[in-house]
Amino acid sequence: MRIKYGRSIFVIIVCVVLGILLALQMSNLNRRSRSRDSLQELQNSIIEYQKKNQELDQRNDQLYNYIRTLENELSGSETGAIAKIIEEKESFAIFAGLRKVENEGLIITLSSKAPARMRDSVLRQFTNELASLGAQAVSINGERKVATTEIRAVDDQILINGVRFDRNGTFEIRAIVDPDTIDNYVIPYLENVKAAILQELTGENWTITIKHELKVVIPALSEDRISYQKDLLFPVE
Amino acid sequence: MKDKEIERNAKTKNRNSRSSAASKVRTIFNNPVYWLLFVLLLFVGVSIAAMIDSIGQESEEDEVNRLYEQAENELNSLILNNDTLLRQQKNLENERRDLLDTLALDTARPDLLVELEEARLLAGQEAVTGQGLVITLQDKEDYDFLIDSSDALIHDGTITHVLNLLAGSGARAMSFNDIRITALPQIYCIGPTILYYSRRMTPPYIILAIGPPEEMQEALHSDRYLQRITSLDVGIRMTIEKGQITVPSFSEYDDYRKFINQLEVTRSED
Repeated sequence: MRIKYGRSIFVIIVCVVLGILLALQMSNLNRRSRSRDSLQELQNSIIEYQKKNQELDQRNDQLYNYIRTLENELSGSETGAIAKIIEEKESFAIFAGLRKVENEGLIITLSSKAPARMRDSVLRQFTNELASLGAQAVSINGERKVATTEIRAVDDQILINGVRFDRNGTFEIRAIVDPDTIDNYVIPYLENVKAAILQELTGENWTITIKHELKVVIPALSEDRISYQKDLLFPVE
Repeated sequence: MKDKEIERNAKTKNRNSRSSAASKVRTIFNNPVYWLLFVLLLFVGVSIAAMIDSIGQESEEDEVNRLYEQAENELNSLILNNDTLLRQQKNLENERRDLLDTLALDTARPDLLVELEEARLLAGQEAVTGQGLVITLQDKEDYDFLIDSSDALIHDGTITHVLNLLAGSGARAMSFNDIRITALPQIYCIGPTILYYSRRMTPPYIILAIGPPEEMQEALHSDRYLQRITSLDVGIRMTIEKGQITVPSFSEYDDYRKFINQLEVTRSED
């Protein structure tokens, strides 16, 4: 009987020791998972937040000064508010794609010979890649790409901002991109995209050219386009 | 004769003792408690060995841990600071709007303020509310790259495809995981995550769209690509909810001006 108790106590002690050792090992593992990689990730987030906070700080300073100017205009001690309002309105309009803009950029020309027809997916892929590459303004066949632009194939036509284009015609994508990156980065990247697309479309007769242009003019979004509508939007108070 | 007897006794003793040792070993092998003890002691041994092995590495790990905790604290305080700055920005925006409203009554250019508000709305610089859809997209449950196709994961192309469908069916404002969709949204895949501008997104991916709910829902339901990837064969999970939604302003994420610094406004007719 005594031997049996002794054995049980011994097993319990071994289990407790093992439990403690396992717990220590687990905590060690947990600490090890905080590797140099995750530390690097944290440090990257710190840099990102530092930059973001600095920009926010600057933006708040500008807003504060803007408010002071408006207050002074109201009290009659200063008359610069109208100019500030116009300046702000214009920069919003540029960002929204409501102004015709120009600068250095590139032009992508795409055409396909029958029986092949232009695919909306190809146009979308190029515009998405351009957006990811930091393009600041893009148009397709003169239609400005804005936040609610659709690029969709319907039978023999491609709809862009509600405007129909013949799928057998030539399509021209214009983009304004940071000039410093065009030759070194943007065009080689787009050439790879082009090669991948052409490989996917093997057997179809396609021509795609990508050209660096010193002056690319991109039109504004026309006021009669569906993307100009804002009737369903209500500012949040 | 006596000697022979003694020898026989010794042999018998020896045989008996050998058979008792063998029976003892048999008892040990048959007793589960001994097996349990054996396994437990083996674990204890391995654990002690692993601990002894890790003693030398402690100092480097401690250093990494110390730096990690420091970085974590710094990041937390930066996040807090960011929240404060965003709140401050909202207050200043409200103050600015109130002043503009007051000025509209006094100034000779009330049309200018209407144009400003219009540009602000279309530029996505104002949080807006309205009827619309909440679309939630998730990868296939328990995705296994050895068995499942890559279509069972959500890619940048899946998101831009949905945004294009929504735009085509009348969406007026959209956001992706709480960041407003702009004219040229920078959405791309990085490994199993999606980067939108500089923010790394992981599932669930939530797209908000203000616009005609029925038309937008119909466009999503009738799309062949979405039908295929949400089928049981592929396994992408998509839910659509209708209701009153609020789409955030892009200013809550970033300053728009750095995205237009290469653009020169032209009035030429070429």
